[in-house]
Amino acid sequence: MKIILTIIAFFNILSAITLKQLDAQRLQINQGSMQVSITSTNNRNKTTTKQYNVLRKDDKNSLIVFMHKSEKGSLIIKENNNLFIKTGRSNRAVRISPIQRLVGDVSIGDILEIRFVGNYVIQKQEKNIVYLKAISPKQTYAKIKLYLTKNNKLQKAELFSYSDKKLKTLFYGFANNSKKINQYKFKSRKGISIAIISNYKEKKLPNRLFKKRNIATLYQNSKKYFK
Amino acid sequence: MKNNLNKTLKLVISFVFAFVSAILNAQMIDEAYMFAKISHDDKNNKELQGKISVKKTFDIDDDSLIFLNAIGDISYNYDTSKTHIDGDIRELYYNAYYLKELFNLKIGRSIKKFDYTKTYSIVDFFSKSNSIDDINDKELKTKPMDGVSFTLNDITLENSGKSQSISFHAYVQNLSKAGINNQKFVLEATQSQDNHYQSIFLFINYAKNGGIALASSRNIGDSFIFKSTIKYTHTNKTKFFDKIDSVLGLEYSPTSQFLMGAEHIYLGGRIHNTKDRAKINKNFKSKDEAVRFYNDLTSDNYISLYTNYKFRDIDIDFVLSWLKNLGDSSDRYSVSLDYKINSWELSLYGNVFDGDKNSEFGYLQDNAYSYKTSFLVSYLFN
Repeated sequence: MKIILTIIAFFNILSAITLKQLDAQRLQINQGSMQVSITSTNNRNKTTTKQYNVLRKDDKNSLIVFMHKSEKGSLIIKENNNLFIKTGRSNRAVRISPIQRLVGDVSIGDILEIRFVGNYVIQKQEKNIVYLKAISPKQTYAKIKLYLTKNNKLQKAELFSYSDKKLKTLFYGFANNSKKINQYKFKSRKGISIAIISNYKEKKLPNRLFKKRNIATLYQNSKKYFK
Repeated sequence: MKNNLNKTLKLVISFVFAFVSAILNAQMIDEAYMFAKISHDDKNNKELQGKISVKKTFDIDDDSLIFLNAIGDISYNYDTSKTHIDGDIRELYYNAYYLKELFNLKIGRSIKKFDYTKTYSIVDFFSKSNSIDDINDKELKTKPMDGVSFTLNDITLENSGKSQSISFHAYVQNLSKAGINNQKFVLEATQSQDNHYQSIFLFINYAKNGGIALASSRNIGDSFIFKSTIKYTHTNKTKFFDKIDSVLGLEYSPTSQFLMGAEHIYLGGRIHNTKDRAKINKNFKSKDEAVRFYNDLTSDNYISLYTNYKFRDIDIDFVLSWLKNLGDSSDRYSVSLDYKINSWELSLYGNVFDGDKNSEFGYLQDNAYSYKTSFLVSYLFN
């Protein structure tokens, strides 16, 4: 009996999915630019679409530039996991907490934490469900319950807060004929938000784009990196 | 008065045309910002003010640039029938990085701020806004400084999740008018690491008053931010606590729509009792002089509570704040509503003052206004 259990355990280990394999289905952006379009529909059927230009350098440094007419000039920088926002034409850098949302149900972390590796660990795995746990309280979600298809493709995720409350459900969408996810659909009691990632380009970025002290001129100075 | 008003209207029209031309020449500028503001208080004083700001960055190469920000200013006071017109270069500086960002040089006129707190900053060594009402500088009141900053960045920490830099700043206010007589020097060491941002400052000004300041901002969990700043200024004041300023703050933001915060502000050696204040109040020659004086915090012990709510569906931002002078129990209540429609923003804000005759905010209530409302229309083109 012990031998059979050992064999089953051995095959379970072999068949267990890794975070690296899950990340392989998501965008592998280490250093570069991308565009994010978020369409949010609330329970009163009001739809808002907003565009963001995003620069990333490793997991700890990012820049989100707001492109919607009512938000132009606003940006968020992430300097070593410290988030600062600059609104409109103000020169002020105001520190914000990571739970802050961009629009609808889409949090800043949903756009910036595009990798599981380094942010979460696998707690347990049951058939096609993988339970992830944040490695520290700085991650956007405390727990993530991932649902996979039979082929181990990401299907949906239930996202939980640090008070163990289910915040929203995320449905993954794959680009046509692609193995990469480019669409994230967030569903909660408040409505539905769809984030589409496009124009991903790997490029070398200077560190000064992710510094709080440069926030006053970043809106203009980041433009050339989105071309 | 009518002539003056006509003159003002002509100037306003010219002002708008200049702005429209600037937009038409959009390729020539990066950003144009314009606002018109009407203020009214309970003593029936009215003021109309407008400003235009244009910004342009000239890239020299990948590592260096020249930045220009010019402003034009026009205001009309209904009571005195006086028109004020002004224009200035607000920022013009050269910024360059050398040796793969190891070294940064910034030279020229610029606005230098070290933001750590919300209601009031004690590490505003250079660019004092001279206002506690307009923290986001919507009315472009913040004064620039002329000088130079050298920064040495620790490039060995590039992939460590930390960053460190040491900067030396030497600035004077308005070099062309005041020369180098009001120079200030600040040595700044800043470090950022996971969820924590902190700085230490050593400073000395033209009056040879030097000191040290520590500032820190850190996340507690995912919804709280704790901020602390403390400053010691070496002066000839006898009591130690008269040389200390400090601000402690805690902010709670469970969602991006809602934020509430509290700050305790201690400003050592400022006006402590109503007797001292009564002497100062007697010396004001005009209401404007008193209003200017009370635009800064003049007492020593305050608590500030503020809350911000964003109505996402209708792009309205609502801020309510209360500043209590703990020494003389006077209060200042502020409310602001901002409504955005594409590039336009409509802002309505008001202040209400309350307190005894010789208290900080009570003096304003009796001698300037007990409430003041302002309506501001702004346009941002970028």
